[in-house]
Amino acid sequence: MVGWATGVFRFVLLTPHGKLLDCRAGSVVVPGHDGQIGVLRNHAPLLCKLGLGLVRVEEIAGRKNACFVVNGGFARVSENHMAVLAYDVTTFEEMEEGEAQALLAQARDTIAAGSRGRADPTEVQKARLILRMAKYTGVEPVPATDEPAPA
Amino acid sequence: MAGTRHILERRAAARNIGKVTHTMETVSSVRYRQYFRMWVEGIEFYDTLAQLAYLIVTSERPIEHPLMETRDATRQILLVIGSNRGLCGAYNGNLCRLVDVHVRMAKRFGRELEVYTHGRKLTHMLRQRRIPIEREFDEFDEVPTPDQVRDICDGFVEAYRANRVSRVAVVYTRFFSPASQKAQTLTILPMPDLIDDLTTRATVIWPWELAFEDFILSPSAEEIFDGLATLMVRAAVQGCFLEAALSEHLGRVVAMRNATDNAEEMIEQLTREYNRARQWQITNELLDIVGGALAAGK
Repeated sequence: MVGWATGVFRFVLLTPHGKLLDCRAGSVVVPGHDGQIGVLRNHAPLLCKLGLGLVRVEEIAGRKNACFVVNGGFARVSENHMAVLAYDVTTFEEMEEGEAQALLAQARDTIAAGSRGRADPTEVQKARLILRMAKYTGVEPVPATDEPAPA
Repeated sequence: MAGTRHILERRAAARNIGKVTHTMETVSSVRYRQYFRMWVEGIEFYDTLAQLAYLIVTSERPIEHPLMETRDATRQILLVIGSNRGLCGAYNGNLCRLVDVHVRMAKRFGRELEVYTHGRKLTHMLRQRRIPIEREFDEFDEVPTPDQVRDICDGFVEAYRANRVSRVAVVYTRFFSPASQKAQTLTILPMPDLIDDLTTRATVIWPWELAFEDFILSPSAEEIFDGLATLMVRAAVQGCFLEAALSEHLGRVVAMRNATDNAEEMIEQLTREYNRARQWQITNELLDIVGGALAAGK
């Protein structure tokens, strides 16, 4: 397919438990097994194995950018349709504020345990990605101290 | 005719049973709806997986992979997915019958079966039939987490790669639609059977316009297939557990609805019986009074 790389294309993120995102996006970045892969409209057909990293979906019509942490899976791009198949996905999408904070706190604990050598390196890497995802999606971490947050 | 007190006791018992069965029906129908939503939303995942599998196996240069090759070992693994609780009609019974067929076939063709189970009720039924069980997966209630599925599948794939077993199959109740569920066997390994099953039940339209050769591959086809095979096995096992839980809850909803209807019918019948007994008792008492009055009048 030949054409300009500007415009939108369909993106779906699928897991065995359901569809996490189905939208028309302008740009998608996925963590390939050997580095990040950026996809724009009219991309050539592509079949790619994914590693551990962030899936960033940008320029979505009618909503803000979306971000997911995936650990393995596949991406298929063909005919302006991109499907990401993933088994292990973490996201703040459709999550209550309390749940998101609990996930962030858990990620911080994992990183702390990892620095003492008491956590699985993959889990530590995943926890770091969760913190990056929080920064990217604008989920503000609650200060760790008991003092109230500044207004 | 039974005494009125006895009838009242029976009616109270029937009423209590009716309440219990109605509650079980409500609980199962809520769970059923949750699982059904998951099942419907997961269809697209399996369809896309089927498309990928179809693309890879229809490539001009056939892909060679250890999980595609047949093995000559005599052992076979059977994972039987049943329920932890009873009261769901013939759900566990049908699975037991299917396992019986596998055991007989294995005996006939000189194969050894390694049976893995999930579900206390089913495991108990299989033990009663003296079917040896290698291991019972009881770490989760109904549907395992991705990590638990990974642990289960990795063991099976390892056994197949090491040529210790020649086949890995799952016996479960497949959920075709809310009107049709059936106990059946799905072969997970060797892969051709699983790919066959995935592609034939997919809801996508075949054949696809694009061919495998049109795609840019990263990494090589063999490595992609290796990852895809693992994903397919895990997703298939996860799907089996989900469909089994879905069928179990639907079976329980139907069984409990029938039980509630029967209890209501029994309550009605016992109420009629009680009224008849009460009237008979009153008539008897009246006759006694009249008889006594007549005797006193003489």
